[in-house]
Amino acid sequence: MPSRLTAVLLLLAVPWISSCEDAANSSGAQGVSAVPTAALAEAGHVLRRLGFGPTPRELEEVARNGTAWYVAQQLSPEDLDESAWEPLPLWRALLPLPTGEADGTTLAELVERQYVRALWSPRQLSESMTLFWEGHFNTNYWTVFNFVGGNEARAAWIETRENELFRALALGHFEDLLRVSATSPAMLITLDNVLNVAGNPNENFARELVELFSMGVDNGYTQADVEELARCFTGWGVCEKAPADLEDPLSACASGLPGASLAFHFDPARHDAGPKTIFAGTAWELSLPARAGSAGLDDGLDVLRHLSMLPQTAEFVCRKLARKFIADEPPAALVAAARDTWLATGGDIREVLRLLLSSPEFTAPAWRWTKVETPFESLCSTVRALEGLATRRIELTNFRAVLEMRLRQSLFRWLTPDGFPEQGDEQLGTGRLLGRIAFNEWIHLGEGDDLHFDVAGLVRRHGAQPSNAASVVATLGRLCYQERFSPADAALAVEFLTTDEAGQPRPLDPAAADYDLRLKQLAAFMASLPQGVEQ
Amino acid sequence: MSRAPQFRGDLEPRAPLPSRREVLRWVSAAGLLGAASNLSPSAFAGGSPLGSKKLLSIFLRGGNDGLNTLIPLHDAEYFAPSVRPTLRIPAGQALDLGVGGAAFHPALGRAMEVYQAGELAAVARVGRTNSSLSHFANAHVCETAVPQDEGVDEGWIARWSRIAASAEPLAVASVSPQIQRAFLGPKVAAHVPALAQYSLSGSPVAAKILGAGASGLAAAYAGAGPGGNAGYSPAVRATGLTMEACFGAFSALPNPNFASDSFPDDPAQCGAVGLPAAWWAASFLGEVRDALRILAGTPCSVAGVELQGFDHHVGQGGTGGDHAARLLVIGHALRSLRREALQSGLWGDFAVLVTSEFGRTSRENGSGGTDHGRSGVALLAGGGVRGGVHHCDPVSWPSGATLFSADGRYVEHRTDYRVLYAEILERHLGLPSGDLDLVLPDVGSQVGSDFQRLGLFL
Repeated sequence: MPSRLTAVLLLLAVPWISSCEDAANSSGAQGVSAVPTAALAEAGHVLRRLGFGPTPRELEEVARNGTAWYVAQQLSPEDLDESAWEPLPLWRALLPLPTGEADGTTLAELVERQYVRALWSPRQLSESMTLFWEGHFNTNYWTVFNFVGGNEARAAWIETRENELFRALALGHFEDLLRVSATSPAMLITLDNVLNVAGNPNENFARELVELFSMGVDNGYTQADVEELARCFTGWGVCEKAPADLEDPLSACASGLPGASLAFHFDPARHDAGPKTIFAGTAWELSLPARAGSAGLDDGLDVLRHLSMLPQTAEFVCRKLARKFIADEPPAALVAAARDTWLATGGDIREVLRLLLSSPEFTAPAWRWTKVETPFESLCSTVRALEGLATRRIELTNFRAVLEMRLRQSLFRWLTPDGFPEQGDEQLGTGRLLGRIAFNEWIHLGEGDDLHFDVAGLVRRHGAQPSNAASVVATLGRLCYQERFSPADAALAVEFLTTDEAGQPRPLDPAAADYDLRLKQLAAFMASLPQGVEQ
Repeated sequence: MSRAPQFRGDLEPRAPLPSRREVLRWVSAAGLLGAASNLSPSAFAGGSPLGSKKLLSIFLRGGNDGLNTLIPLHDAEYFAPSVRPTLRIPAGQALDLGVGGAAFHPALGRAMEVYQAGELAAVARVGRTNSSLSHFANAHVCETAVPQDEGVDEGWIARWSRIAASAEPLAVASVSPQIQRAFLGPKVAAHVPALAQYSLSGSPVAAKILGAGASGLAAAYAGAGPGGNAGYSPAVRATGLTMEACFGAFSALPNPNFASDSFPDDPAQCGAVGLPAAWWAASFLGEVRDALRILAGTPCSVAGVELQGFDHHVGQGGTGGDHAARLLVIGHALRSLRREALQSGLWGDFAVLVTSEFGRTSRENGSGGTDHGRSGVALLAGGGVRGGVHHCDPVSWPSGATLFSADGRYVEHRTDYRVLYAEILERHLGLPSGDLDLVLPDVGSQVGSDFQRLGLFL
């Protein structure tokens, strides 16, 4: 198995040591108020589509340096220093990354690590793509949890390891991603390949492999192919292995060994050693010889390599990527160009993304604000626009509660193998809009144990006149929505800010005791505006 | 029943051009972003009330095993040890429905109260031609009621709402964690993950944020205010308007007086009434309860819930096990719905449809489960339903010639799933026959025997 993955994991496991020097931006005193609207609009769009929404600092940086600069930077995440990011005490609380189930990690740690990275990591594209692969190769934590008899340390380690590998390969080659997924105990368990045995094949994984993970539904395969594919993956399963053997599917099992972790295991005795022909009679037919013993492992690996380079796979995955970054119905010519890049580069995701993110369509004004954010993206973009901060794990409690209980997006726990829907119309819903408001209420209801928002300080730093309601509103509008904050929005927001709950006028006095609270209430209103779910 | 069809949608094609299919495709292609702009806020201002009929759709997601739900007692092949060595239900334990063939899985015992009242119809062999083996492709077809190659994404319930109930923002509600495809369309449905969470903090600031008239979000969604808010996506605006209507209606719902054992909503309570003590059971019954409250207490005509976990590739179980546990919960839900709707006087106008995207392989696989198949079983219950069993007798289910009648692996269908929709739309929801084709394109003109009506309503 690819040992370079281990190296990357180890690299990631090193705690990011930081001097946490003053990270204050180098902009002028006016902040975003001084940025030309056209540049601000493009920067906002790029940050929303490519990652989890603009922070004030990134808005200024991208507006100043241009989209091409930012895209190039994001395509080389390994060069981006994560050590200076702001919620460092919180991040330290979530380290070190586990290296095996003996480290006793938990689902909560896995979830919160993903929150922290999406919210505050400078590697926005890398995090966005990590979640894209989590969705594309969906596995369900609870299925794993039940399979391992409720052993949380084991189930959480399995999902954490898969998540870290997706992150390490987020911009890598598709074949590697497909292999990481297919050999992950989480996938082996979720789609029943652990029960796939010669003579009694289980076709659950084989079907989704072609339907969801590579070629796309009914796109060049038959039921007979699914049955033949299932034979290729017989003998693929899991067992406990010593730490040094985790990467080797042919290593011995070590049931009950202290320090052992559940890992991918190939059992030749359960493998169907006969010859196999998949996609018989087509231009993409694959014939595999009879393979005895440990050589049988190559059946599945050969299939994964073959599928990775099929034009159907390239087209299917490229359309999903274009859908994520460009539009729910992306231009066919752009999808075709991305597919060609895939086929020319051996499925190099970095190059496919370079093509998509450098295309005129990516920044074209006509495509802006035409997609709906996932619930997770929409919460993240609110927190990021308002520079919300958490320094302790407990401060993410309401974030998680609203996301999971109201918006019903529980990371790593989507039941069906198709992953959380990315398509816009499936994101919208009356319950979702109400849940967003409920989350935004925490901006003004929150106390010490919630995310912290300093809205008054934020608008001041970005050029607002603190006693001028229109100026405060305009500044917040530029931070949250850039060009998509209309005079009509501003009028509603000014009315909100300058009246009390009974609708009576009240002046805005920066010296008043409730000034900070009123600005937080204003932020809660503005974050709830309709464009708060668009991207 | 003879409600005048005055609530036609803006997109309804009365002229021969464009064709109905083309319009559906157009609606779908334009998606929410285009077509919803036709939903002016004033459309929500009034309109006549809908009829008193109510429908609850229960979707069994994952592919419910029809063979072990409605067992063909008369077919010896089902009982052959080689077919379902560990999964088959012994004839002596199946609940004979007294029609010379069919029997329920023993876990459906609680539904027998509804069946014996003559208010539950069980339909075997429900499916379609060119059925896919993909969950997602098949569920898409079941929920849109249009073959997938037509490129239509609007759900059939959303389509009914757009065409027959355009003036009522609360006409249909998806009471489920995710909005079900059947409820997605240009006319926005209410989406209720849980009624208890259809609330805000209660602080005066929350009310101020929501606003009213020309202030707050109400104004933003309505496009009021100086200069209007034409910039918002019409879909978000339409969703927001429906959300405000839902918030008003749902926060005013009276407390229900349901019997304590009807809808236990935590695992311990489920266990206490003989149900699986599991969160999935508790959440599902909570959603059924919320759907009943919405149907009973608001203008909503059609609500939908779903129960996941029917994709039993592994460890399905026969008389016990996971499939039995899920059927037990479905039977309980049917019985509770009938009891509570009788109590509140609603049952006569009430119907419950239970469907799934497909059935499963007739032969048990190597993992004590079954794989994706073709036709399956649908159930329909209600005060106006003609109880009975369809297509599970020696004539319509020939013994020894049915289990492997499709591709040598599956039960071939005898009734197209859209026949059930058509009967519900016409005979229950009162859709004029002339409008059936608007909601279910081409169904009216189908001449195949699988499109013959079953007469499910009295």
